[in-house]
Amino acid sequence: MATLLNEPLANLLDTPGITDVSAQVEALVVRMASLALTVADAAPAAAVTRALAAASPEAFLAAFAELLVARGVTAPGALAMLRGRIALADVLKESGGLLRADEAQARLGVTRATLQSWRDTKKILALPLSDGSFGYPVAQFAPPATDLERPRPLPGIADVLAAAGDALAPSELIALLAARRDAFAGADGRPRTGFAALAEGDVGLVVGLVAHVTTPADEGAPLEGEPGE
Amino acid sequence: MTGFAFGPDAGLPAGYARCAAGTVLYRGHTPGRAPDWFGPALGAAGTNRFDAPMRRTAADAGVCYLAERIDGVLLERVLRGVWRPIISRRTLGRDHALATARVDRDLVLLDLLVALSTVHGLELADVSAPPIPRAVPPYPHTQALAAQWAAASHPVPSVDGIVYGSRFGPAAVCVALWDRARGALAWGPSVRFEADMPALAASCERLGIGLVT
Repeated sequence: MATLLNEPLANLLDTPGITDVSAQVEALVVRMASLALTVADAAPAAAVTRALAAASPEAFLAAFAELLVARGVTAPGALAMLRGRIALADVLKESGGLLRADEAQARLGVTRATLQSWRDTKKILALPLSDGSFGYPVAQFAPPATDLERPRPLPGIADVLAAAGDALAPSELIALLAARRDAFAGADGRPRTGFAALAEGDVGLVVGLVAHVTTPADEGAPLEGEPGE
Repeated sequence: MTGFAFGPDAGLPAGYARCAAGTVLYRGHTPGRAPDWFGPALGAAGTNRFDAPMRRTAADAGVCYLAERIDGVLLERVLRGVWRPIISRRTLGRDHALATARVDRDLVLLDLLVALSTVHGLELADVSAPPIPRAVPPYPHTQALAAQWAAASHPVPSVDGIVYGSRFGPAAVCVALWDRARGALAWGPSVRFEADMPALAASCERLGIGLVT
């Protein structure tokens, strides 16, 4: 402990390539370090060891969230919300990541207006981000067939979005499409992701499952207070 | 499973279970729609695991899906048989409400939990198969079985439905109740899922589900 507290933070960081940061980033790092110190200092050694053994940043965050909650989170649901953010990060990473708007424009070779129009008319899947901007899952774009072309939305993405309507949040839809499932299996019977099934032209399979999920189990039930059958 | 007893423990033959009077069950439903509904609508094809397999006629049993805890409602109604590790609080609040139903008399149920294989000769995979998208019926095996069971005579005087485990974990006990037991339920008010945030959070924790905005 004495070593940690007596050594400049920069000496302890493992961030090759980063030599200069803004005051805001510095403040964030200091705050994170303070939080980590407080939480880890109060946690059982075995729990800290488990967190350190995490293989990916997402797994480390999940383990850290457990330590944070074990210390005493006040609001009910806080751990579930933390878990949700981490699970979403995991899903996005597994599915190929997320493009910020400027990255999407550059990758797709379209203007900001076109990207916005695709998003507004539900031709592409867009994830609202906490800063008010949108992220675009990479997996929804088909790679170009030649060097002269650009990636384009997978065939059927618009149909999937239409089937999902408002009944699935973008994050839920991404999670549904990013997982390998038997229900998305192709002719060889091997489970695929929804994105892979779309890429291979099996739009009906994906739309069908999304439609099943978004059709309420009690579709057809009378309004409350009205006589039933 | 405090409200449930199985086979001889419930004074019944193996393969049947009793849900004791006084047990409170949970029902997920669409806000504004009647929770005490036994579907599908007459003339509509069943889309749920134990619904009538084809377009429902007056001869087919209507089914109301309930669960012992919120866990079962989240898994079976909210996820609709398709696992995702996250649930949106916005869609949960807008599209799903929670009602309770107190069981006023003992219910006798076909037991797919304890005696699934030993008495009924089924495998877990038989009753937990995922839906087949766009197929009619989407759960061909269980929908056909349920229709047979609803119409069959059993070695007990009256069977009210089926007790089964969620597709995602048999510890989440669920009940598919037939409309012959409609009068056995006393319904409480419907509330938003987040009306009891600690219970929702605890359920998410047990299931490993994360909440997102």
